[in-house]
Amino acid sequence: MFVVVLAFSAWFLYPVMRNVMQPWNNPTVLKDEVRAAEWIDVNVPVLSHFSGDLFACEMLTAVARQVCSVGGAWELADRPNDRYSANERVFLTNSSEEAHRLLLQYNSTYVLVADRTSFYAYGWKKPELEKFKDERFFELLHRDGRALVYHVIE
Amino acid sequence: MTEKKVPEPVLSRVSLEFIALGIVLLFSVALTYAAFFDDASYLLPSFDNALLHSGRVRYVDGTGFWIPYELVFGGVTPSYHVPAYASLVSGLADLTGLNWLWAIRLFALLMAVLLPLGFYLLGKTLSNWQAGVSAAFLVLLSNGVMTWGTRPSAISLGVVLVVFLLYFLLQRMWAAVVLGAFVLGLTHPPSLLVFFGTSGLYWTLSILRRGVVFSRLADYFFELPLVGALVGFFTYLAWHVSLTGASCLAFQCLPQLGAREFGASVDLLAKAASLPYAMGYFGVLWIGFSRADADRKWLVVAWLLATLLLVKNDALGLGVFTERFVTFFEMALALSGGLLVGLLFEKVAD
Repeated sequence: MFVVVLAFSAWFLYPVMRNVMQPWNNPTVLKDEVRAAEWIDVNVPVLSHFSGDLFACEMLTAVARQVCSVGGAWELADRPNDRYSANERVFLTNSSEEAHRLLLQYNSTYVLVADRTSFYAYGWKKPELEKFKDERFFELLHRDGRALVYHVIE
Repeated sequence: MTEKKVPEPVLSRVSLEFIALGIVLLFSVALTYAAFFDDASYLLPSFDNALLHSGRVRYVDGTGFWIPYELVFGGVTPSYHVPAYASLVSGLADLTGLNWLWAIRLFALLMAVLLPLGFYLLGKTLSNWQAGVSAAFLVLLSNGVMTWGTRPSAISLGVVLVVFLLYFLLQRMWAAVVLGAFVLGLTHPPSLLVFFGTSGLYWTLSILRRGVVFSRLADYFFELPLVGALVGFFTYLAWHVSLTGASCLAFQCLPQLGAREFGASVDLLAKAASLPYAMGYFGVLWIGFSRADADRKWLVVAWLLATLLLVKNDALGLGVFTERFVTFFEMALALSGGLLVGLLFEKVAD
């Protein structure tokens, strides 16, 4: 009797627990970004400094062995609010000059950006991508679908 | 006159037990498999900094060393994390020939087997196999455990070590407790705090129960629950001092404490509507009505009390990391809920 009840409970509760867990399992970043990170892993020196959205940043530490501008564990940061706010400004501003200045200020030499709603610091927002086309400040190194890798010209 | 032959049951008690355990293990592995291969598919689950932990795995795997600084926020903050999870996964990668990503997935599946198995062993030792299987099932229905405690990060190892350490304590397995506490000290500080609190409280309750004899005070210090708690604590302290020297002995330099990461007050009564909580709360009846010996009961009391104090530390005027300990309180409740089932079978058998 116990085993029958257990089996039925497991059968009926499995979809319930799937629904509970599912929102936590999303990789968040696009496949394009993962492939771009794999390219970075091969073509960019290990432990270079990147800027990206929070999830891309953490993915870059694993897939591409890089250091990045922000992460989820804000308590780990030196001046977290300054860094978060500068990071968001880099991706939301339409001024290539301002983005370039902020990137250099925080020692970022590369950018991974994707054409998706992203989490740069404070909420989910779409990046302003046009500014990265300014060749005075940025060099496109690699493109994979909606993911773009730029070198910040010093 | 021939004696009437009693037909043998198709399924013996032992096979029923293993079928039940098999159902629970399958449930756990299926959830983890779906999480990693259906939901996260091309990468890993990303919430709760799981990929940052993967970054540390990758670093250890590539260099053989622990990274001395954080990989995010510009790489300028010293790292105060502990290395066991990253080192073990990296070791698994070396052992199996898998790359870091597959090693993390394999490790997660391994934890998905060990977590319910630990609850089964603990519940069975405390009561009966029905209690063990029920505790194992209830922990898999606990939202906090399943959303936070099963991340591909150090916590997944921490929660498994806690439950196995309590089982080893109960069995007085000295070598396993010392080794487990040592690994836990290097795995996940909140899990260590739970074990330290539970084991320390278990020891305190145990000597109070027996009556303290002051002339024999030294003997008490060589009892396993205290030895285990101290091995875990001093292992962590040694690692911490190796990173910070003597300048941070009160842990004030830890970013989590420095940032004063307060937690909201958790309403544990409001959660009573969910099955694992309700069964866990009613499960305290086991303490009063089971025929188990006092030593077993005090371990359960210690686990419930220690995790309750950690979740409700705001009531003590602290209010730090409260939500982080919900996972551990749910684990103690899952055991308690399992013991309630065990108590029913115990009473039926009587």
